[in-house]
Amino acid sequence: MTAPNEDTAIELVGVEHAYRRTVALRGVSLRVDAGEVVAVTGPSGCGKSTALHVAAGILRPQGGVVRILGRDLADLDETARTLLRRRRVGIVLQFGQLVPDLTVLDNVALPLLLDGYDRFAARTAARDWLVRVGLDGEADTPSAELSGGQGQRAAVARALVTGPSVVLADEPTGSLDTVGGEQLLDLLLAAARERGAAVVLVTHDNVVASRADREVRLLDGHVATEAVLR
Amino acid sequence: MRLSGALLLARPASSADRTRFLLVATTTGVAGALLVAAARIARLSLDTDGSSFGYGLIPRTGSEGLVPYVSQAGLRPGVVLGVLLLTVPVLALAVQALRTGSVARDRKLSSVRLAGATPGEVRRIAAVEAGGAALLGGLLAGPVYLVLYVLLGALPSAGHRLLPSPDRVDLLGWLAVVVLTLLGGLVAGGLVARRIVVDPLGVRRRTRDVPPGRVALAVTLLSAAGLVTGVTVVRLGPAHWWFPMVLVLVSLLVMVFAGAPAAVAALGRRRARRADAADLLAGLRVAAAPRSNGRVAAVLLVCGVAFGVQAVLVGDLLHEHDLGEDASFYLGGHALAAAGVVVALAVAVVTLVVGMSDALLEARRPLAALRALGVQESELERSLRAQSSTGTVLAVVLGTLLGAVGITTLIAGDGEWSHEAGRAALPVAATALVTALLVRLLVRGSARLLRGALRAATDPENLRVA
Repeated sequence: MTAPNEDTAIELVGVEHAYRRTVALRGVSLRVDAGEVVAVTGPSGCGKSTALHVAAGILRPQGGVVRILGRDLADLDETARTLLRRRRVGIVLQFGQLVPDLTVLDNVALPLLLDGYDRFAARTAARDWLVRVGLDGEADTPSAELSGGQGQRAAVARALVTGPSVVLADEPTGSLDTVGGEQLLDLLLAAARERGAAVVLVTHDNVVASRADREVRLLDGHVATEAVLR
Repeated sequence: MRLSGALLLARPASSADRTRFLLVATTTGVAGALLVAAARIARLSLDTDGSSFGYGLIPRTGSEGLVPYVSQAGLRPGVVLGVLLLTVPVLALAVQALRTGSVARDRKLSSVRLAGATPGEVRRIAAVEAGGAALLGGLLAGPVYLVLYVLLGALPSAGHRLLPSPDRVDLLGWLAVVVLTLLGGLVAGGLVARRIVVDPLGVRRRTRDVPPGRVALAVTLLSAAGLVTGVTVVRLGPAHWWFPMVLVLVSLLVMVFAGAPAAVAALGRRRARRADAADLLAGLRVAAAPRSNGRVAAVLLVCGVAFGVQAVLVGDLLHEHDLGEDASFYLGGHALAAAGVVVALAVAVVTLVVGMSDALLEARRPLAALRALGVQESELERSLRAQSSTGTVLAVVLGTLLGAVGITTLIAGDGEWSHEAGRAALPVAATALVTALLVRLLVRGSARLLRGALRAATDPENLRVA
């Protein structure tokens, strides 16, 4: 069996998806190369988040093909898709989605702990990332006690701790003020570029979108325009 | 995922987690203690009959000072069976306890899924959590058994003791209970987690909680056939055959637990057809999630069966025999059995309260929305009362009649059925009335207990919760 070609980080071909009678995606095609930063923009309800969830393998589309790092998700069962996501894909959502009962450190270490790392090694790696995102002083704080901005920074650390090849972020700065949002974006993009990871940013914020290499605009569930920004 | 990772994630951290953990541990502890007690009473036969099983290992503890129902070998199996049956409502409460705080737990598991846990790992985390609580329960079973012994075996005067003194073999029984409860907890935790689909988007989708379909119907019909067969064999077969009685009992338990959710759902749908808004809300909720009410109705029906059997037997005793000095022996035995059934009934009502308080927590957003729309709190309270009472009174009355008919069929000679039934009619009717009133009172009381939880659930702040 040949190894999958990982030059293309994410590939969506003619993807269709509907929630009962509401059609969210109508034949969306999107390709993100390794190391590329792509912003997916558009008005509310245009299918941005659905496209990201499909690209992450969280949602199974009703039509079309989705490939992550050359692997066709239709060939993978739920467990295999989860393992691929855990090891190769980092996800940041608008609200950090941290486990409320765990400390910040254990939250960041969680993907490694799930992957069978011993607790010391997982925590050591997590602590390094907490230093990078400026949360080393909050390592032992229960994540439920973090502010919105701190929670997002912890979520970014958790998404990057496994050294993913793809980072998917859904409105990562949506719950932050302008300065906090800028800082978080700087952090996310710097870390991703440092290791050549592809980034997909779902956003309705033009300032955030302007930081990408390319902008794909969705409208009513299909790709309306594409623009190379740099 | 290593065990340490599973333990970290299964650790009861929030107050809802801790409540669930303690409830499961306590209930399994009580159930375990009852199992140890049943085994201890059953072993009396080996002690006094001089069986080689305990020779040299078991210090011989005679049955001196024990009540005759325990000390007489012929009556002892009935007591053992009664104690074993008492574990059924306690275990039903344990299952209900496993589901408490499920909203917060499912949200947590969803976050864990987002962090990369597979569905299998999520089930393992749930199993480890339940297994830990059950393990603690198993360990508690020993001390709880000792407390039971002090209350029922040491404090009562000679001739009134229910439990013989503990011995070394009880330690083995306790160990077996620890292993059993641990395995039971792991399996039950995994099974409960199977009923939920946790996806990484923070969305929790419970698999449809509809009344069980064809499989449950088949099991119900099959066990009903087993019940009829058992009753027939008991009537016609040799008196010393014990297995038809076991068949009757097992068939009855399987039948009511398999069939009750579907029956309760049907009652809920019927209630929802009424014009009253409170009934509509209550009926729809029961029909949508009938398992909790179904479990309680099943326990109440079994309690009703026991009351029905007792009503006929006590009526028969008072009618037929000149009891004289034996009155305290016979009536005392029935009083003891009735006390056990009342305990089971009380446990069933506690199960109802636990289930309802969790249902309130789960429905807090729609409840807050109803309140915001102008529905009076008294209306919501009436709806809650209707929801919690659906099927309860009917179950206990139906059980009483079923028990009365069953035992009359068993004890009546050829051609005497209508005569026996006629004689039992009054005590059975009186028993049905009293138990129905008792259950109604307990259910109303439980709804009153839930007032605070209802008020908290209808807080406008809950409009903001997911």
